[in-house]
Amino acid sequence: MLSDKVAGRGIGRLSVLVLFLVLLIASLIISLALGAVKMPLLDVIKILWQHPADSTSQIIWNIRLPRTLVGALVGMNLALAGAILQAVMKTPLADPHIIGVSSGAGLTGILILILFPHYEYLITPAAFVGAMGAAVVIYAMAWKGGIRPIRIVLAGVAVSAFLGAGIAGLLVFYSDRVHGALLWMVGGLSARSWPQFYTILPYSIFGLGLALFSARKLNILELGDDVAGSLGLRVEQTRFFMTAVAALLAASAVSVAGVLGFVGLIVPHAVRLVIGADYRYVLPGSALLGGVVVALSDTFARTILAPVELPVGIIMAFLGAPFFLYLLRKES
Amino acid sequence: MLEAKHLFLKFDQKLLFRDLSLSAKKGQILAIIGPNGSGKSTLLKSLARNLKPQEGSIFLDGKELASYSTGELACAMTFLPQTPGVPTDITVRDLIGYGRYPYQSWWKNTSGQDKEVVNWAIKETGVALLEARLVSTLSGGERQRVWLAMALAQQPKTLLLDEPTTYLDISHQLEILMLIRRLNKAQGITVVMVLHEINHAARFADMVAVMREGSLYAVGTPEKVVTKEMLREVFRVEADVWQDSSGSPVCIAQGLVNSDRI
Repeated sequence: MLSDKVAGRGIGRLSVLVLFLVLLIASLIISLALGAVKMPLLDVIKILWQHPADSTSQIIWNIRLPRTLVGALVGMNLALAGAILQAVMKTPLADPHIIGVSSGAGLTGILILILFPHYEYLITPAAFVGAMGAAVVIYAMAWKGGIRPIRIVLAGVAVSAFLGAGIAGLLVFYSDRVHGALLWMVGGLSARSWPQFYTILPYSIFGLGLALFSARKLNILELGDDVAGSLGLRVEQTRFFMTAVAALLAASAVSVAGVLGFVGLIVPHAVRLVIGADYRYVLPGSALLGGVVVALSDTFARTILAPVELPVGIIMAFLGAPFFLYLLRKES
Repeated sequence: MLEAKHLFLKFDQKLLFRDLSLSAKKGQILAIIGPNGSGKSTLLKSLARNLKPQEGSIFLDGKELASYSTGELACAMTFLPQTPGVPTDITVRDLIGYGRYPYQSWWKNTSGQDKEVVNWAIKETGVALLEARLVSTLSGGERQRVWLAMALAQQPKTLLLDEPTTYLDISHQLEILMLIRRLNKAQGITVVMVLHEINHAARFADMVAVMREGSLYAVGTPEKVVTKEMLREVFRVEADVWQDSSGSPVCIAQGLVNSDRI
């Protein structure tokens, strides 16, 4: 009887993952159907299936589908990065945005955007360099005979403030070129299409693979450094590697959608509330739910004040902050 | 067999111990006692390879500790810190299953043999009735037994324990120590543990090491080490010491040395 309860837990968590997958597919279809031109859901599915050569098909295939997919991948990457950072830094406050990894990506991204606007294809690699650089600096600053989570957070906040000042300085010095950079900083998906999709896709697949592959290590890390070390986990090495994976995921998201906050913070928390703390379930759950949240938020951002489009980052912050407070109150 | 030779450790400008040599023989229980801040836990962490002494070397079963790979060491020796962090949501069985981590790899997950070892560890530590509970809902004594079960699932030859009875009431303290003694006898596991309670060390350990300000004051059998003189010089207390019915020394502190200062 007792072992039934344990077995039931596994099946329960798997069915939650299946539910998240269904939610993701549903939100992708909703996102395709809603916009300046509204379409019935069945027509959307038919267009996806049959690929006809009319104008609505053009809208779906060339505008909405790539944008929706980019949004879902951005959400997935940020949520995964957040979940990993929370495990590695052992603090629920970790998020690529808060820790400064996104700011690193943002600064180098904006640097390219402002100083070398013709080399747009350099933004992703530059953002990755920035994110990794920020992560390494934070790690080095927090190192003192080992890593303490609180030192990582403090170092992250300091690095984030420093990089933020750098971004602000760039914007002041190049105020004539600020517009594109400003939209990018708020975090948006407008005019994102197939090129951005192909930019982020390989990073997403690679990052997701590495993350799922390391889920067991994150579980062991949860037991504390002493126990994890005694169980044969190379604690510092694992932490460094996982930080790099998170930086890769966050940088690819930042380079196509700008600095988008809250996804990495809220999604893993929400997932843990329904699925528990086992990272073998938390990571895929966060990936799926992150896609749902950004796809739906972007749909909302496109439609609420149509024909004016809001950057999805604003919606994320408006929806995300109260939701986070709700989670906090519920937990305590 | 765990052997430390001429250890010297400095951390943050502070000398934690100098020229410290100590050994625990195979199948023995070695208890480390000493006042607060004498370096007991630091010594244990060094033995567990969580801290690296600047000088000296440690040998585990004749092989230098530094030359073990992480996985190899995890199969030979287990270290349980004083109050291990408890993940928010994990069942007793899953936690004990983590003890098999050093024997697993990503391409071969939990095998039938792992399951058998976990079942055995659950039986040995008497936590069968708890196995489906969440660890966070257990009492202190139950939790400590579960951690011991996890350590046992690692099938170590040497077990390092940092104050395994902290925060437990008197019967649970006894329960944990008797369990450790039984595992030591039945499995031949060498145990090195830091203890706060001198009488527990005297009763349950084969050898007692007394630390004072980063060096060893004495090492020996409880009868030789637990004396009025040691308690006065190391712990600064005047104590009565006598033998209990089993022959182990027992002490009760009666007052402080230089009590006129208070």
